[in-house]
Amino acid sequence: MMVGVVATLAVILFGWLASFIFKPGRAGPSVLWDVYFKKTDLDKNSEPG
Amino acid sequence: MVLRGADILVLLLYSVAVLLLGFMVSRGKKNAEDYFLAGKKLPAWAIGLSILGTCISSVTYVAYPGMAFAKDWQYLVQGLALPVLLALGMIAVVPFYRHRIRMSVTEYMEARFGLGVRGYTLVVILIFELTRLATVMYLVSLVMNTITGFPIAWITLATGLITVAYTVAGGMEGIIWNDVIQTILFFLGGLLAVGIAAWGVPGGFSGLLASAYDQGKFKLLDFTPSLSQAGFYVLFLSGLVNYFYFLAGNQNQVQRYICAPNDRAARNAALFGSLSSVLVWALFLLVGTCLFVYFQQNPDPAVAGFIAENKTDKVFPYFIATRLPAGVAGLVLAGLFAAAMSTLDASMATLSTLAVTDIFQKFFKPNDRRSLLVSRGLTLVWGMVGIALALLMIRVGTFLEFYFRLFSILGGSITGLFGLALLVRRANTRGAVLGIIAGLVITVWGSLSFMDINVSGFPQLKFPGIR
Repeated sequence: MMVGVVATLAVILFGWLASFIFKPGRAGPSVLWDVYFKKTDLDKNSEPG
Repeated sequence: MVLRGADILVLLLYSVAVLLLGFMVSRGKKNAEDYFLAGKKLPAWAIGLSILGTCISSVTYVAYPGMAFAKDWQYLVQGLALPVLLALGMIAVVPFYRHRIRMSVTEYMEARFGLGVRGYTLVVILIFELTRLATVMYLVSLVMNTITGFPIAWITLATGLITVAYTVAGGMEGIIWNDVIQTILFFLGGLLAVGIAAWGVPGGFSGLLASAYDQGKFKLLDFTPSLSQAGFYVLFLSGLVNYFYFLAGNQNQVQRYICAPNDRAARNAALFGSLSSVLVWALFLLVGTCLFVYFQQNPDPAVAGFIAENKTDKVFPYFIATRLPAGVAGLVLAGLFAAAMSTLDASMATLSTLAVTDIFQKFFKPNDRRSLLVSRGLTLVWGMVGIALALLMIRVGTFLEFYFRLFSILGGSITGLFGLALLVRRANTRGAVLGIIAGLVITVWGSLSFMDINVSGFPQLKFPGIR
């Protein structure tokens, strides 16, 4: 069980560190926090895509 | 056990009902989106029950009672990570995906990290779902064989062909409405088992609970600080990782979020489906606890044998076969089939959705009619491949082990990849690729330690927690 947990943390940690070293070519189009900060309206514009 | 007439009748009625329902909703599909997203018109409660049905498989139906019978309720800690993740804000994945993808989670991976990472994600999900499809089909056949004595291959074929038929015909709409029936049925199966076990104990349900409590069978938390045994810390951490993937990376789930008519309905469905899963896991642990007290007070040499062989997951099937009245046994067995089928149809839908969106539509740009035809065709093909693999598992045991090992190595990093994409704004493609490599190194190390294999020239360094 712990192998999966450590592997998951390793991907996030190494991915984050490596992204610092190789300066971001492009920022991700969106991350989950955007839902809070941009206050996605839950009922308007509900068509995906 | 020889199935009685009433049991066979119940099983036949169930099979006819799921097939009819699949064919009833098969009309009016115009393109692949109608087929895979059910026209985005289904009510939240039906989608919620479908999410619940996908969470619960035949493994839950048999293994959870077995675990509670042998030990206690500690495994519920893993499931409790699900409401914790929702409370921490993970419900935001529902509007997030609804606004950013058309049908598949791999679309988001391409937008985030490029085509190569999308390809890696696609391969891992396809292997995972195909493994799950074949394994669930094989395991339910194995359990039904123990109970009824019918040949495993026949049961595999019957389960597989019925599921393929209603999934090909009805698409996601057929799957979700069938999941509603199936979820109600396996919940009813669990309740009936608890009721009948309590009926057979002096003092009834309250006496049974008191006896189980006195013997520590409801113990939930074990704070022993150890990485090598499944205590609170290990179970809770692995639950957080598993259910993060379940909520935010699982194509089955995400596809259901998009089937809802609006964000609010999708969010309610996700909350209802996820939170009620915890209740159902608790119900099946309760089944195991009830059976423990029941067989303590009604000793049976066969059950003593299961305990001696450490095969307590055979206790519930044995109880169904020997203690339930005619008709009720059929209903509980239909519940077992239902639990398996609601998982199988979800895997078939995931496999065909990804094959259509990531390969067929991406490279061939088909029209609506051809797209629908290919969607149905690919669902049929994946279903048949799943049945063939399940039949192969009956014959070749070592193949199964190889397949599981391959998945654990490839899949070890997929949850981390979704975590990196969804939570780390700065992450870029090179970071994702190096992250995947780090994850692969960790899982290979863990697998070698688990199999106790030494690489010559290197000192043996075991993964923490593996003896």
